[in-house]
Amino acid sequence: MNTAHSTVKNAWQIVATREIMTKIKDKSFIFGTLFSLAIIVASILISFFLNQGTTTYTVATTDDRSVSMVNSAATIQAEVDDETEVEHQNFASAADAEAAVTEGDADAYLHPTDDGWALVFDSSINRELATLLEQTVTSTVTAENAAAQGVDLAALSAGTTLQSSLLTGEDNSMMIYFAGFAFAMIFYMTTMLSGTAIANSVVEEKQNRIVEIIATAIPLPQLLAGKIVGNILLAIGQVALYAVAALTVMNLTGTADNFGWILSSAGWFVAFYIAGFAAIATVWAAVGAMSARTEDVTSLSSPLTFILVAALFAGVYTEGLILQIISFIPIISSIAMPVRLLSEEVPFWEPLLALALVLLAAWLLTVLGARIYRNNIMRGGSSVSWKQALKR
Amino acid sequence: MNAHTNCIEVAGLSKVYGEKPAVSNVSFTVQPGSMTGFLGANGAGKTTTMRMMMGLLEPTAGQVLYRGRPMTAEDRASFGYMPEERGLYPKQPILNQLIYLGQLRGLSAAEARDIATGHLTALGLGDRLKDKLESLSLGNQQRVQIVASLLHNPTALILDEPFSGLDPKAVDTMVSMMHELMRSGVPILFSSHQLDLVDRLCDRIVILHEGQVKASGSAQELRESGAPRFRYAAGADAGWLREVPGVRVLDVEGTEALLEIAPAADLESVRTTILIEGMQRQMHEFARVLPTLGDIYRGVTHQ
Repeated sequence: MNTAHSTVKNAWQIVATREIMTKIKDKSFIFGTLFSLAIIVASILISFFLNQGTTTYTVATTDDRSVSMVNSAATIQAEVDDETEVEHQNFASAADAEAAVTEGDADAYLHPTDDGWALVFDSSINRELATLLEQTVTSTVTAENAAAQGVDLAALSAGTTLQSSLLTGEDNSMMIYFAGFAFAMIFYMTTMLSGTAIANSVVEEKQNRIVEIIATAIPLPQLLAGKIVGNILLAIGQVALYAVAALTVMNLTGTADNFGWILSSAGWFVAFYIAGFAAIATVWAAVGAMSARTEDVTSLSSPLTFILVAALFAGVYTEGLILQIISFIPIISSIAMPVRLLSEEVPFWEPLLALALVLLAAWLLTVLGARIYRNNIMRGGSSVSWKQALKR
Repeated sequence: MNAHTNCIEVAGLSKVYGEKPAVSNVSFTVQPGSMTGFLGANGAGKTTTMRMMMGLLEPTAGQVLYRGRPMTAEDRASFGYMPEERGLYPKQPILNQLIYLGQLRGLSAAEARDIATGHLTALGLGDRLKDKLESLSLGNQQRVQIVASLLHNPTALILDEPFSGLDPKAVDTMVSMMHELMRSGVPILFSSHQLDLVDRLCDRIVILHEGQVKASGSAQELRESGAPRFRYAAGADAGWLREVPGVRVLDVEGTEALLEIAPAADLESVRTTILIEGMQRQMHEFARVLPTLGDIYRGVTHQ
């Protein structure tokens, strides 16, 4: 029989491997990952449909004048942008055309009347289409009238054009909101789920005394390190998966160009996400060590939950100076700073400083968490309060 | 390997919680190639002592020696240990977690798999390797626990209540596994409050009561220590024995009696007196009775 009678070198690697292998088979982990994936894909698709989608209006027609009117509208629209298109569909009778509108095959029915033009919708008026056709009818009919009266329309309308333009470029506010929301939800969900999983796995070992068997085989810091490293690697893997999914969806929808502005802040988000999670991972392990049973984890982790909920709300709902200040507070910065980077120009040193502060906090919290873990993992009896844990 | 070098020596271990001493100045040795029973009521300090031996609890005072020097973490890593409230990972397949524990003891995954499969099969769990621990009966869970402590061919075994909750067949299987290790010179310490089992299995016994060692030594030594006892049976009433100086009658029932000769008295002269007097009363039995472990245990714990 083979025997190995010396303590194992790098036992943390064995622990980390087991941690990862166990987790990727775990239902709540799979569920959490899929949930976050769904949020990401949905955010991209929603903002895609809200802002970037090409809308095609079909206008029912029954005569040649209407057809040429719709074609003119299409030409005018093409000059404005290429996100809205207008086309016509010819019908034999007014009844057929109205039926098409009622059934949704056409958006509206355009036809000339005795004293002008009529545009018929089904149950509600589409403002965009109505305005477009209104303009087209007005300019076309005015031009016809002018020709009939022998008036030079160009001279008549000289200097009447109004050109609107944007000072800060395209309006991305909805997309910024969605991207920020997605960052916030991903960070909140994964740190809560992974954190709770760390705490549960620690209390499981404590409750079942298997930690006593492990502690006689390897030093406790190796066990703790293996757990933390394993879970951080999982978190990195998750976020990589999210990034791949996001890029794939962007490519499939052909919107990668439109999302380019997100990528740099997404890069920062990955850094903040990993650092923020690393900062509290050991504290989650401490919560597990303080608990006597799995049921204790929920109540003992309330300070952590509070911080994460605060980070979530602060990141999503604050702005201006307050957002600027909290984007330097470790853990809260994991949401707040990427959100700022999405929506405003941030000097390069600011995210670097915030990241350095998270790493400092990570170091301090790891030392604290490891101490609480060591002091409590072998304890029998009831759970330990935060007050007791911090005192010792 | 010199057998004597593998001796585990507990030297003056104490553990104080706040004001309350859980274990006071406990000393005993666990000899290689022998089975030492650690007896004591609940709360006597057995688990605390074993946890200190395994380095899971910092002693307030005293130390544990192995091969004549302070025991190291490497030594402990080579031991097999079974904690009191046992349980591995309830929601994981039994073979998987044994492989993990084997790896933590320095075995490769493949070695651990082979050894664990072999042991589990020997214990009748060969067809349940992929089952979750919690789906097994308590007795079977304990078998898995035993395998966990034997995986790495341990150099010593420290088992906290290994037999509690086991059916007689499982006890026998476990005992034969322990005997095999014992024959190869491994020191074994196990705690129990099942006196009969300890009596049957152990070469050496340590009795702990309220945190203190009340008796320790080989079973034979313990039985022969203390006042010698005799059983007496005759044709006539045995009440007269009460009058014999140096004799303490423990029990009389008509013509039969159980008596003890006080250590202070001269054993030979008292015996001669009883023999002569007894012959006149048709005595047909006068024989030394060795106390059972239960007698010894009750004797030392009821002081």
